[in-house]
Amino acid sequence: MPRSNTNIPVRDDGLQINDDRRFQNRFWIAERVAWITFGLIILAALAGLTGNGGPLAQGHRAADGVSVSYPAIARWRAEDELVIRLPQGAEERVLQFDTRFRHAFDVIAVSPAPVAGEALPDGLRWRFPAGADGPTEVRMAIEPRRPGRVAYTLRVPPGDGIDLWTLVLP
Amino acid sequence: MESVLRATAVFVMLLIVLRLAGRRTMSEMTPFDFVLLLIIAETTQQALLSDDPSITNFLVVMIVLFTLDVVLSYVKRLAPFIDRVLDGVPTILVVDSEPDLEAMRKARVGIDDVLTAARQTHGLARLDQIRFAILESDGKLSIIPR
Repeated sequence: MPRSNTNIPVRDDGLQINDDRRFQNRFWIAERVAWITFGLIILAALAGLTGNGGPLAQGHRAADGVSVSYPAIARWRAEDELVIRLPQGAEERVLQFDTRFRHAFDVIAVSPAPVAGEALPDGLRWRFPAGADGPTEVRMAIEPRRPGRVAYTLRVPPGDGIDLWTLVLP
Repeated sequence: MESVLRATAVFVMLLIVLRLAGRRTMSEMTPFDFVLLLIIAETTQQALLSDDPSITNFLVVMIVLFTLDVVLSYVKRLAPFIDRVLDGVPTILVVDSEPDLEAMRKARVGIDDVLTAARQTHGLARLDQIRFAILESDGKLSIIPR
């Protein structure tokens, strides 16, 4: 859209121009501040604060011999991994997440394949074989369904629930 | 709804980052800048369309982008300050063959750039043949000979 040219001043040296050095100086400062911010964002991304890997993107919790590595910071619709380490045992292993998990994530894959996977009124449950065939580590590929903070609980019977949360970035 | 929000967010973020990255980045097209442009175009496309390659999505995103552009042109016309923030103002780099070194340093323009523009646009051989050199708000160098 063409600008109005009626108010464009003519300088003493004859140049008619709409320059504004005061504004430009302030903008140059803003530019430099922005570059520093860009650098900080890159450092934050390397640290994992923007999800998709990095030390701070991953959370760790442990209780009753079960340890969980979960995405503390994830990205909306981007696949992430949840790793559950189980103690050796003779009994059947069961992993159970509450409904908040079911509403917040799509489970893309579970490895190794469970004997059974069930949707329950109060969540999701996977069963794994007992004894020497039973896994000591279960990896789940999950994908957040919506941005925001999601709190959920993993239960590995007979243990108590392990409270987890994930911040899903848009 | 998500397409509209997504396109608006991507448009605004691109506008802010490109503006704050500095206008020189947009004007001097080196091979590296060309690669940068290709990568930005590719990542922008993914952020805009997400995992929905439908024509409906493309249509909505395209209409949102063009509408934002039209709205922004009116906003800039009605509010000169926003116009200056978004488009910038020209910066005078050389007056009567005297370079403003501080302005050139801050604008990341060297004497070489000014001389190149002088040669290309007016066939000028030396700095003392330049009356004014102006870094325009679109990132181009204007040369006015003596």
